[in-house]
Formats: sequence, structure tokens, C-alpha cells
Amino acid sequence: MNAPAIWIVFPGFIAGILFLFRRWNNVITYSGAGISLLLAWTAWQVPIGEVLSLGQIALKIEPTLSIFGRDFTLEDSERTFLAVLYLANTLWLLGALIARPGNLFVPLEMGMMSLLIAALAVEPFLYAALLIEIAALLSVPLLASPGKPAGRGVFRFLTFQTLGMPFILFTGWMLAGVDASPGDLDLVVRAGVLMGLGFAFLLPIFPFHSWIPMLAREAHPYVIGFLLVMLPGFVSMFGLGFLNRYSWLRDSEAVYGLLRSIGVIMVVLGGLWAAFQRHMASILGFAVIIEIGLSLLAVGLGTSVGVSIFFVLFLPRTLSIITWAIALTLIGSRTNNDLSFNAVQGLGLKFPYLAAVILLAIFSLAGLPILAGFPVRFALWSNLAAMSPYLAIGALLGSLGLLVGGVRVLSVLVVKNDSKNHLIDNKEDTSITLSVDPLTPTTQVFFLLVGLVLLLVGLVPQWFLPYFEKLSSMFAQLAP
Amino acid sequence: MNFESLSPVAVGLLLITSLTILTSRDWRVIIGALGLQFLGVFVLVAVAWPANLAVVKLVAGWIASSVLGITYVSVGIVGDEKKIWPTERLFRLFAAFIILLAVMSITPRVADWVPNLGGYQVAGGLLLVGMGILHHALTENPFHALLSLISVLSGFEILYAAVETSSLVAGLLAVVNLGIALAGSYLLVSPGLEETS
Repeated sequence: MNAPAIWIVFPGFIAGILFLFRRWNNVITYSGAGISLLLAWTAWQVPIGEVLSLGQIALKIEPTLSIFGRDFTLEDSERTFLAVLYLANTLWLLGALIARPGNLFVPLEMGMMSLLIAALAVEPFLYAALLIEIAALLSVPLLASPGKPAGRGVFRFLTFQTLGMPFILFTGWMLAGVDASPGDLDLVVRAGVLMGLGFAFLLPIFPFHSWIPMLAREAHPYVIGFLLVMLPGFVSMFGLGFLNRYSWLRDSEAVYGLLRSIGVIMVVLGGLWAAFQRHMASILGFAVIIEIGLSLLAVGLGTSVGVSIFFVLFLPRTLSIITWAIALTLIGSRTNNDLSFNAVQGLGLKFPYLAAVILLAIFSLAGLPILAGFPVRFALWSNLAAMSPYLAIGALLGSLGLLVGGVRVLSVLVVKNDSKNHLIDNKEDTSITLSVDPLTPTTQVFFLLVGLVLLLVGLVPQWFLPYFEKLSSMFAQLAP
Repeated sequence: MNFESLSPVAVGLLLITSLTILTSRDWRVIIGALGLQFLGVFVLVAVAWPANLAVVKLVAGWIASSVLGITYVSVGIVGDEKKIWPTERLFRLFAAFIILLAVMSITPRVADWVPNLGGYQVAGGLLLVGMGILHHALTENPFHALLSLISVLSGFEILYAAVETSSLVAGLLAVVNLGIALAGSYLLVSPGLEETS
């Protein structure tokens, strides 16, 4: 038995099985969540590469699986990451019981997770670009709902993901040359440019981010929430893999400077755009752009603390976006899927619970004190300020922009507009149909729990964040 | 079989087929040209790869073309076969000519960068990448956008074949090609599907 068979092949196989039974949505959702939780527990408890005694049976889980002469390797140091990932996956699957993103969500989500983990396990690691592309292709049926024409966002998403892959694959070949002759400056520059373009398309980095807000308007909020947490998360970890492996990249101050510059641009622009949006889902899209920028800034610090911050950002991001996405879905079910400010005006008075949850998520991502996003952002701002006050000001501006966006959402949700009927006056082109019952007891319990965790992480971060800091041990060269 | 001697013919085939895809509006002609394009891709890939591995590109490409063709027939996409103005066709040909000039000018340099890559492979690969990007830039039609993506990917595969001969990569690239065709087909047919919760 080997680790990739357990955490990559098995969930992929399960995804196929769940696809066959997709008619029974609740059954496959509970099954998927149960299996995902089991995989998280296994990753937490079962060591890789050590002999395990189960009564009379001695069992050893090997770290490597070979397919067509290439290895997929999951080391023992990656177990915490796997546990966290499958725990987050369980949360996403349980959230689907409330958000109802369609009967394809569970099998395709499991399939995507399997592929994305395979992307981090494959050797040579550059083949990850191919697996990430396949995962992106797998998400397409989730992004375009049956019965409605596909929007431009999904085509742009598909285009950018497809264009990014060749750059990364060619970079891999060039980096082998750079390793052989690091003094060849032309080769280093060519490899650097190709790699930069590849990640700019895949992550996405400004100015190739345009599909995020477009897709956020077009697709089911829950699907877009999942995609925007998972895909950039895995691609940025893939990017960390580059820094971890190649000393000439890791030791180059220019690389970190570039990461900081791009990061601060994304945070500032994302904040500005978020402040002036008039669509609830677009604000979510720009919040994710800010998150990508913050991740780049964290890595751009060039220290082991920066890498720890990069991983710690994952917890508030996942919790906030999952809550936000479910709440948007529930609001959309009352406005014929229209999430523009005109349509949702005054809904906070009817559904104060939903309004509170959305604001909790936005303010947490903006880094408001006592919420989950604050401790890690405070650490990032402090480290940035020590490096350059301009970077810290830029990062703060981004958060301020999102905060302004949140205040605007609050004002729209609580100001009643009697002159219009938002169920009829629906001018936006909406591409999804949602059928959910807002505020069932399950929904309330889910929101209560996630909201409580968002508060607890903000109040007592020392209970939660060390587990995420430990994830940086996967990149031994970056966080020794 | 000596595929190297067939390389000039393959590059010519790629030029003709990419121009056809760029300027035609008849889906039958376009799908036929795409099928022929994969023949050219196969020949140029077979220069670097064993023929039995290179044939994966041909088979995957033909399946992808078939998927798109069948989708087109089954959904009866409207508004796509509208008459193309002669000036528009002329403009497209002129833009393609500029791409051709760019490809001719940078081919020797790229061939220098990649030691295992022959001039015809570089020319064929860059031609498809260039024409694909041009086609993508000039269309808003989902069907044509997908065709252009497949062309770009085919061009890349020709160039990448010279530096990577792994079976796993060949298989994954074939999956990507088919995946784009299938995802594209889904996007084309999804407006006609019944809504589900």
C-alpha cells in the first residue's frame, strides 16, 4: 500500500463512483463528506514510511507510487497538509448540503481534489501544470449551469488556464539547463520570463485576473467560492515548490522584490475595485484577488515567517469564503439569482442572520480585529512595515478597500427600497438557478458554528494557527 | 518511415489548414481542416518521438475534432455560418500574413535555443501557436474560441515534443486535448440542457 493510492487514487475512484450515483444528491454529499473526513483522519493518524502494527498485521505505507515511469510521492512531512486539506474538503462538501450547487458538484469536487493533490505529488514536479489544467477542465461543468448560455468568464478562465500550462512546462525544461549552467544569464532571464508568464496566467496575477470577477457574476456562488479558494491555493503552493527547489531563485532578491511589487499591486487594486463594486459576488471575486496578493506579499518577505504566514492565511480565507458563498447562494435564492445591489437592497432587514454572516466574512477577510483574518494580517503588516512602510501602507489600503466594500454591502442590505420589487425587476443576466430553503435549522447551526470559529480564531489564534504554521515544513529549504 | 523528409509538407499542411480554420465559416470545412491539422502535428511530433507514441496526438486530435463536430451537428449552433464579408476575410489573411512573417523571423532564433528542435518543427509549432492566438483574438464565438485553443495547444505540443518524450506527458497532454474538446462541447450544449437542482 502506498500514500498516493490512499490520498490520490482512492478519492479519484470515489469521485467516479459518486458521479454514477449523482441522482441521489444527499446520499453522495454525505458519502463524499464522510470519506473525506475519513481521509483527513487517516492523514492525521497514520504515518507514511513507518511500519504500523495492527494486531498481528504489520503494515507499511510507502510514500511513492509509480505510473508510466514517473513517481507520485507523498512524504510523511505532508501528512498535516493532507489532513487540513481533507478537513477543508469535508467542510466544502457539508456546505453543499445547504448551498445546493448541483448534483455534479460532489463528484467533480472530489475529482478536482484528487488531481490537485496529485499535482503536488508528481515528480518531476513541473508536470503539475498538466494536472492543474485537467482539474480546471473538470470544473467547467460546474461553472456553466444547464439551461443557460455559458458566459464569457468561463471561456476566459479556460483560455488563461490553458495558456499558462505550456509556459510552466517549458520553464521546467529551461530550469534543468539553468541548473547545469547557472552563469548563463540569457537562459536565466528566459526561464524567469516564461515562469512569470505561466504563473501570471494560472494563479492569476494582474493583469490576467479579469476572469475572476466575471466568473463570480456568472457562476453559482458556492462553486466559485470553492474554485477561488482551491485553485489559486494549489497553484501558489506549486510556485513555492519552484522557490524551494531552485537555489538561484530562492537566493535572488529580485524574485522576492517582484513578488512583493506584484502582491502590493494586487492588494491595492483588489481593494479599490472591491470598494466600488455594485454586485455582491464581484466583491467576493475581488476579495480573492486581495488574498492572492497577500499570499504573494507573504512569500515575498523571503523569510520562514513569510512562508508560515502564507499557510496561516489559508484558515480565515477558507472559513470566510465558504460562509460568504453560502450566504450569497441563499440571498440569490430570494432574488432570482440576482446579486446586484439593486436586487438585494433591504434584504438584510428580512434576513438579518444572512446579512450578519456576509459582513462577518467580509470584515474577517478585511482584517478587522477580533475576527479570524486579523492575527495573520497583523503579522503580515508588521513584517511588511519592518521591510518597507510603503508595502505595509499598500496592504492596509487593500484591506481598507474591502472594508469600504463591506460597509457598502451593509448599507445596501439594511436600507429598504419600497419602490421596487426585486423579484420582478431583474435586469442582470443571471446564469444560475438556485433552489434552496434559506435559514433552515441546519443552515443556522452551520452558520453559528463557522461564525463561532471565525471569532475564536480571532480571539485565541494560538489554539488554531500553530497547526497551519507547521505546514511550512513541507518546504524545507524555505522554512528550515 | 523517415518523418524528417515529410516535415516541409507537414508545415505546408499546417499553414493551409490554419488559414482555412481562420477564414472559413463552414463548420464541415473547419472540422475537416482541424483533422488534417492533426496529421501535420503527428508528422512533426514523430520527428522527435517514436511513431507509436506520436500517434497518440493524432488519435486524440481526431477524437477531439469528432467531439466538436458531433456537438456542432447536435446543437445546430445558430448565427455561426453567417456570411463573411470579403473585407473581413482579407483582413484575416493580412493578419495571418503578419503572423507568418513573425514566425519566419523568430524561427532560427528559437531553433538555436532548443538544441533538439529542427527548423520545420519550430516553424510548425510557432505557426499554430500564432494562428491560434490570432484566431482567438478575432472571435467571440465559443466554437471558434475552442478551436483556437486546440490549435495553440497543438503548436505547443510540437515544440515540447523535442524536449520531453515521457509517456505520462503524452498521455496527460492527450487528456488535456480531449478535455478541452469535451469541456467546450459541454459549454456549447449546456444552454439546451434541462436545469437540475
